[in-house]
Amino acid sequence: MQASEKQKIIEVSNLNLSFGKKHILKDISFYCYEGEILGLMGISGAGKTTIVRVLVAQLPNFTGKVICAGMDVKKSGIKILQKIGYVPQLESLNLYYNFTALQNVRIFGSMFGLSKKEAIEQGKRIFQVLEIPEDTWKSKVKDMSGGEKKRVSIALGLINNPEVLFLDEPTTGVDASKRFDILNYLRKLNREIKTTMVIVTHDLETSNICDKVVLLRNGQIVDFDTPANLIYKLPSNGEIARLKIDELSNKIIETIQNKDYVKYVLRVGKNDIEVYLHDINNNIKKLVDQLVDNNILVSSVTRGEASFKRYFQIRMQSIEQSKNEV
Amino acid sequence: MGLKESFSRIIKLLYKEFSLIKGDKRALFMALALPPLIISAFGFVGVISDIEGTPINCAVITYDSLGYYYPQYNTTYYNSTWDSVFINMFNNGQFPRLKLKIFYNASEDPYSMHEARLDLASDKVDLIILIPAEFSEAIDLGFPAIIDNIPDGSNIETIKDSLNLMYTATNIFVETNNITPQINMNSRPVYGVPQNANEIMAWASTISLPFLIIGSCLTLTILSVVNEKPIPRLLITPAKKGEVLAAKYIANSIIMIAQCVLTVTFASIFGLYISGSIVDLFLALFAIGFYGMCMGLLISTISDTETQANQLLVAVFLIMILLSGMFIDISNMNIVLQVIAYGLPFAYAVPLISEICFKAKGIFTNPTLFWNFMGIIIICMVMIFLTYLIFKLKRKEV
Ligand SMILES: Nc1ncnc2c1ncn2[C@@H]1O[C@H](COP(=O)(O)OP(=O)(O)OP(=O)(O)O)[C@@H](O)[C@H]1O
Ligand SMILES: [Mg+2]
Repeated sequence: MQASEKQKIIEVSNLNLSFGKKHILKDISFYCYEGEILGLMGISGAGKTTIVRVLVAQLPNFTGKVICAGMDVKKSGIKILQKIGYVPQLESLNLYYNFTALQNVRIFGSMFGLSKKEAIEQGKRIFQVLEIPEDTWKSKVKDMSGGEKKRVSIALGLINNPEVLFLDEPTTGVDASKRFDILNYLRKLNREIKTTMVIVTHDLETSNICDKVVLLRNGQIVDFDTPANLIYKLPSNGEIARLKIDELSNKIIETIQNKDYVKYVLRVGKNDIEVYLHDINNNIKKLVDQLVDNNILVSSVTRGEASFKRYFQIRMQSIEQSKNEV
Repeated sequence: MGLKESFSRIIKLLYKEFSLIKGDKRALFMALALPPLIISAFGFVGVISDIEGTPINCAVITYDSLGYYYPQYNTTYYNSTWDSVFINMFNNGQFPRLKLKIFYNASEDPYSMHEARLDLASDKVDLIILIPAEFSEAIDLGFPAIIDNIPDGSNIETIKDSLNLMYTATNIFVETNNITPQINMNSRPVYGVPQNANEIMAWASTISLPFLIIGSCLTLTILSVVNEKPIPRLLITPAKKGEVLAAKYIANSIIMIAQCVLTVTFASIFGLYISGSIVDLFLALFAIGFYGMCMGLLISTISDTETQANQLLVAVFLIMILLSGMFIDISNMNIVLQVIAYGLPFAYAVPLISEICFKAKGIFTNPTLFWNFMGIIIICMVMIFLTYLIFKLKRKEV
């Protein structure tokens, strides 16, 4: 499909929302095409969950235009719930622990008008995609492992074959290897079932599977683009120099920072820094030479790509700084 | 269209509700097995003790054999025929439930009355029966004969029982000996429990049946809302709050129908005296159980935690018991307590059961009974409305 033919399945423009006198969401605008994975990112309290609750018609008192699953939220209200799926952050608030995985599937499926048979069939299909071991399907959810519970929870979100699946913090509180698994499963689901996904997270690794990200801060959009484009906005299009310097000190970092062609310096280890500089091809050599001239021992220099995590870090830091300067 | 979908979702939610109830075996046992079990226990008590009731232990003091000096004849008469007859009948167990424990002859022991009082104080006896001087003379001469009745007033049951039993005793005394004292009251209670029915169970059921049903329905429903964590998640499907609640009311009502059928069946097996219609008794029990369920779901909706719900349950149940009319008659309470009492089920439940069982009144034929029945239903409706309102306003986030 051509990009121009793609349907915008979510479209938010000039969304504003207040709780009492507290202005929580300020002029939020973003969109997402069918089949994409959209990340809503930002530190705690940024307004991520609030945006999702507007999208799933739980907070009707907003202004602005909000289209979700192709329906106008203002007009359709909770009718939208038929077409979306939701995976909350905590399994304990989501699953009937004393019922089996299949019973859970049956209960939630029936709310969408599925018959017992349809719900169970759909459930089994998703369980297979998510590789939930078949021998656990008929045991009580409370006896399942944490990762299995999470996957059952995701399956419930998909039981109605939703046009959009919302996932609230799917990787928070999950250990590193499982986090990787879950992201893989989400990727796999997105490819095989072609569900559009909105992932709320402050886990920046999640950006790896996102087609677009919305970066939020204090209820405002800081950035809205693909992760690659955002990284590309960094000096030298996101290419960075990684330096290992013996006896690295803050004074050395300051020296580097003060070069006019250096944009940011991040300390990433005891003796490691990442340097973001303009025109990296010419300036990297200049930098190393200048350091050596100053008797600073550079033991290795490598070039690499900035990660999204670094982008986020730099972006938030620079906003803080510009605010302090004002 | 929307209604049809709502209805179909409610039906489907019933599967969830019954699975949840099935998972809580203890509450289910309480609801279904406890009332029949207790009824059976009452039934056995009634059968074994042969409709007798506990005996009232008596101390009898006679002053009759004290001599009486007639100045005009200048002689002292010692007439003691009739107190001996009375005491002999007493000893032979001819007076129902009255048991002669201690006998004092005041003509021999001047401290009789004092000693009898000590017996009463130490619970050796429940009742002092005092035969005054000139008892026999009065009967022989056709004057009214007096017997003093001094029950242990610390127990209201003893006062009631001793009065009734002494009544019966004097009637038997008069009839057996064919004497005609001037005043003779005949007491013949109507609407009582007939000989062939189980009396204990009949009396016990008017208060204990409502208690059992309400108690078990409360325990069945008290955690239904507060402990169902995924409710907010369920509401991010097309399911609506009203539907989730409706399914709870329906599922628990179905359990209650089973409960009432079992209870009425067991009550009939063990000979509960039901002079009215069994359908009316069933309806009354169902309304009472419905009250328990509505109260349970209301508490469950108000509470934020299981502990809170249990605390509220105990508090509500205590108030229900205290204001049930068992300890203080509701009409004797001050206006504030009366208002509360009429918001509680027993003000309606006790008359309902007793009128149906004893007086054969029908809910739909007797206006008073009808309004007792409707009283419960109306309070239930108010509770359902409150529950819905609170459930609707309480924002729970996933
Ligand atoms: N019901 C409410 N009433 C008043 N303020 C609220 C309400 N819900 C959220 N807020 C406020 O809105 C802001 C955004 O909250 P939100 O839950 O959207 O943050 P978030 O980005 O999801 O954070 P987290 O990562 O911690 O979940 C917070 O400052 C919060 O205090
Ligand atoms: Mg949140």
